[in-house]
Formats: sequence, C-alpha cells, structure tokens
Amino acid sequence: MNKKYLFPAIFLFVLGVTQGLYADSRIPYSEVILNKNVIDLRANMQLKSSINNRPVRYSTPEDLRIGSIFLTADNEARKVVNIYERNGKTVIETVKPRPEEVFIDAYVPDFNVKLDRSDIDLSSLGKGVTLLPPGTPEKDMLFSGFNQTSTTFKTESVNWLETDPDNAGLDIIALNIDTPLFKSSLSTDDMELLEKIKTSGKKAKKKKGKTTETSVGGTPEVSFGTSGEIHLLGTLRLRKPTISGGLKMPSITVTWVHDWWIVYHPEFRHNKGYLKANFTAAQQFDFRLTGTVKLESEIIIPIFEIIVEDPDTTLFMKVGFYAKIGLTGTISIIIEASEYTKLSAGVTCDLAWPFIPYKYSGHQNNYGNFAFRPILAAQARLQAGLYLGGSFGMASIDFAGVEAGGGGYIQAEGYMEPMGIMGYDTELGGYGNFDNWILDLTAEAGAYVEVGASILTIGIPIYSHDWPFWEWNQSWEL
Amino acid sequence: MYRLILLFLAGILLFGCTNNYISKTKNYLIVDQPSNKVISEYEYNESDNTLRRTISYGKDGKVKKIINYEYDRRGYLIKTVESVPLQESKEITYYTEEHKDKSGRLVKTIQISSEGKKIETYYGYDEEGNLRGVVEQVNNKSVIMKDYPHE
Repeated sequence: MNKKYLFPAIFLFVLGVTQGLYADSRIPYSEVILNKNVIDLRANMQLKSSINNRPVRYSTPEDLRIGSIFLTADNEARKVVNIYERNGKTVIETVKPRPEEVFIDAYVPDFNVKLDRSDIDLSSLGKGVTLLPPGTPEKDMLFSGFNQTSTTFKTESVNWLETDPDNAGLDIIALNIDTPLFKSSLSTDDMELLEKIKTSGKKAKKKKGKTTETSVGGTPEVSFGTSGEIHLLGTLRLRKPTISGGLKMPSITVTWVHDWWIVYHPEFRHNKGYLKANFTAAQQFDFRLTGTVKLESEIIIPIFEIIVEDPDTTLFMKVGFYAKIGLTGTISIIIEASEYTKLSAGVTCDLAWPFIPYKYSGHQNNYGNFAFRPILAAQARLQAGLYLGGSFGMASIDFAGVEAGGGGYIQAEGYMEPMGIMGYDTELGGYGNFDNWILDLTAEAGAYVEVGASILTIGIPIYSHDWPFWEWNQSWEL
Repeated sequence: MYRLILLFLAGILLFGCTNNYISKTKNYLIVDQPSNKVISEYEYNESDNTLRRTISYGKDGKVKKIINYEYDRRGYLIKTVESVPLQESKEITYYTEEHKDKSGRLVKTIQISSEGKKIETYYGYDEEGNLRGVVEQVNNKSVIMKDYPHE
C-alpha cells in the first residue's frame, strides 16, 4: 500500500469509528481519550469548558485560534489554519489534523458490522433511483432478462451475484434506476408559436368589423422535429457490505526507577498499538443504455380554408381541408450490459507512539466480470392522406382544434443484434464473440385513419387505426 | 397627528427588533482549506453564547442537514429539529439533570433524549478541587474522556 494514503486512511477510520460510537449499537464498547487542547463544539454531547478549574460554559467558535483543534457539530475533527471576517461572517479555514493531535488514546475492540438497507442515506439517492423493498422478486426489477440470455455463454467458472457460492444465503439490497441521462429536442412548432405571438398584436389593430374569408390553395406548410435521448434503465444489486476492524492506540509510560549507580532515572516503556480494517462487498449492475434519435417531418398542402374573424375581439374560427404527408423515423442504439464486482480488501499495521504505522500490510481479492451486447434498431413510416380540420382561437393563436383524416401508409422496421454476448472475466479473460448476428426486417403497407385534437400546443390523439393490406418479414442469420 | 405618532412608534419598535436580531446573531463558516469548500455553518446567539443553528454541507456544496437548537434556562439542550432535504424533519427533545456534591460542585449530568439515548457525564476533581477530567458515557457503552489542563 502507498504510504501516502495509509495515514489519511487510518485517520478516517479512527474518526469514522468514534463517530459511529454514538450512532450505532452494533459497535461494541469503545474508549476515546481526547487531547486536553481539543475544543468541543459538538452540538449535542458537548463537554463543558473549564474556567478557573470549574466546568462553567460550553465552548464557542470565539474560543478558536490558529492552531486550535476542535470537534465540529458533525463530530468531525478539524485544525484551524486561518480566521478572518467576510461579509459579516467569521470564516474559519481548517484542515484535517493528525490523529495524535486529537486523541491521547483510543481503543476499539474487534468488530464486524454488516451494513444494512437502513444504513442507506435515502437523501443521497439520485433522480430516478428507487430502493426496492426486501424480498423483491427478480421479475419486479427493471432489468433482469439479460441474465437468462447470457447464461448460455457463461462457463461454470464465470460468477454472477446469484451464482457466486460466496453469496449463498446472503441478503441482497436492490435499487432500480430509470432515468434519462441526456435529452434534447427542436421543432418548428416552437418557432411558429413565438412568431405568432409577436405578430398577433399588429394584425388585430389593422382589421375592423367582422369578416369572412375563403381561400383556395396556398403555400405548403412544412414542419420538422428532431429529438434525441440517452436513457439508463437498470437494477443495481448489492450483497450487504461488511466492514470489520479494530484499533488500539500506542502509548508511552514513564516510570522512575532506582538503580545502584544512580538514584533515580526515567524508564520509558513503549506499548505498541495496532490498526486493522477489512471491507468486503459484492455488486451486480444489470443495465440497458438506450440512445434514440427521432426525426419527424410533415408537409401540409392546403386545399381550401374558411376563416370567420372578429377583429374587435381578435376571435376567429377556421375550417380547412388539406393534404398531409408525414415521415417519421427512429434510430436506436442499445447497449445491454451486466457488471459484477466482488471486493475484499484490508489493511493491518502496528502503531508506534504517537501514531506511527509500521509493519503494515495490505491484502485484496478482487473479482470482476463484465458482459455486454449491442442492438441496433430502426423504424420509418411514410404516410399521405387528406384531412378536414376545424379550430378557433384569438389573435392568430389556435386555442383548440380537431382534425380527422385518412390515407395510405408504408412502414419498415429492422433490427440487428448479435447471437450472444462478449465479456471479460478477471480470472478467465475474455469470453464470447459477436461472430453471428440476427438481422430482421419487416415491411408493411396499408390504409389508415386518425382523429386528433389540439389544445394550445398540446396534441391529443383521439383515435387511430391501421388496416395493413401487405406485410413482409424476413430474418437472416449472418 | 395621533396616527403619525403611532406610525413613528411602530417604526422605532420594528427597527429595534430587527436591529436586535442582527446584533444577537453571529455566523461562522467552517471551511475546508484544501478544497475551499464550506463544510458547515454555525449560527450563535451572542447574548447567551448558545448555538442556534448548524447547516451541514455535502461534498457537492448542497445543504445536507440543518439542525435548530433550543436550550433551557440553565443552558442545557432541550430540543433539536433536524431537517434533511426530501425527508420529514425530525424533532428530538432532551432532559438534563444535574448532580452536585456537598460543596455544590457539579459532579454528574444525565441527559436523556426522546429517542432513548442516555448520556452520562462525570466531572472529576483533584484533591485541591480543580477540575481534572471529564468522562462521557453513552448508553452505558462507549466512553469519551478528556483531561482538563490545570490553569
């Protein structure tokens, strides 16, 4: 182990354990003797200050000076390195002190604590992350099908959380994750609405009296939209992590002894301490990462339109007959993956006074297994039809509208996926391959009808139905 | 005229209250120097030197926990209200009893919380009557001790 990290590790361990003394009954009787200069600013269990050798009052930050060591309200030991005023507040700059600056002695008997679901800080759960109740069956997890698919490619030596004999009979903590990692969209509707709002005031001022307009034909209206998303869906399962350890701080005792050649002389006796910490954990993360790009394009060719408009109130009613040609397409790239990690690591050392580690040794035993497969999917639909629509609104802004129409369509779908997975096992090396793929194509043509409504900018589909009259499907194994 | 006097008096009262509040509160920011991040913020009442509120910050700089404190006339904690984002606030009440020896010296305090935690604090004196050590025991298990310097 790198010496650079050993000292902070020991210090964090000591502080972590001493904090735990008061929060967790799973840790046994422990003893901590604070250095006499430590200023106690803990909020609850604060020790009183001594003034004129009497316990008089509780310490406050006013007692802090540069070089002071203190315990914060969160049971954290800090050392003051600078104090100054800023915006009416006293800023106390601190660093982590060395253990011997905080403790004269500390003793934590050997312990073994299994961390439980109740130890999970629920406020730390990210957006879209839910903690599943105990005993949740696999079917209730967001993603568990991949394991069965990949089982055929596992050798007997490749372990997963559920097949690892080390995990037999142990409770599992499971968390579901369902969250978009990235989302972006752009459409012409947004730009049109802004334009209409900008020009509506000018139009309302120009017209006087109730008017009816009828127009035949017009300029085709073209709209497009594009959106992209990367979505993470998965289940993280943890074997309950276990932490074990123990601590005895080193000490030095001085006794005055009498020998024949000198009356009295001090004899120093060093009592060595020790520190040991072990951590074991295992986790499996089954997830599906989906990247989707969606394209939508629509051309509306007006045939005729009737508009009734009242300039005083800017109210209008509109009926139109038009042809609509639409093209939608979606391309998705999916990565399905499973990752299993098992970790057992520990550090042991002797401690010499005041807090100097020596004869330290670290051990670790890691196992990792990662497997994945990519899936490529695409879908496209072209449809053309005639529509009749009516709407009303004010100041050129449509409030509500209904349209109905129908026509013909042709659509195609395809996907490509490997007939297996590829993975890497830290003990066995790589396994599996993507030599064989399945390519599946489907095409369809038919007639359709759809009825929809809109309120402001929100579209509400009411009814739609397809009547396919030609279907084609072909699969290849490559 | 009567209304003007009332308005003037109300103004003085309002200014006095506001000014009083500002002058009685002192804020301290505990900063981690290497990262220059605020770890916690303490709000003290200057008039009685009691901690009124602590705000703890996470590594991401967001508020992790806010605790408000109330004390009795003797200066002992009687209530904490802990607020954690996305969770219901938790209120804990405390009762502290003092034990003194024949000469009136404080020798022991027992603090019992509504959560059932019991903290016993023992104060030890030398033969000359100087406070030399304090032992704090939690739920009859863990012990934290401190030697006091002789002044």
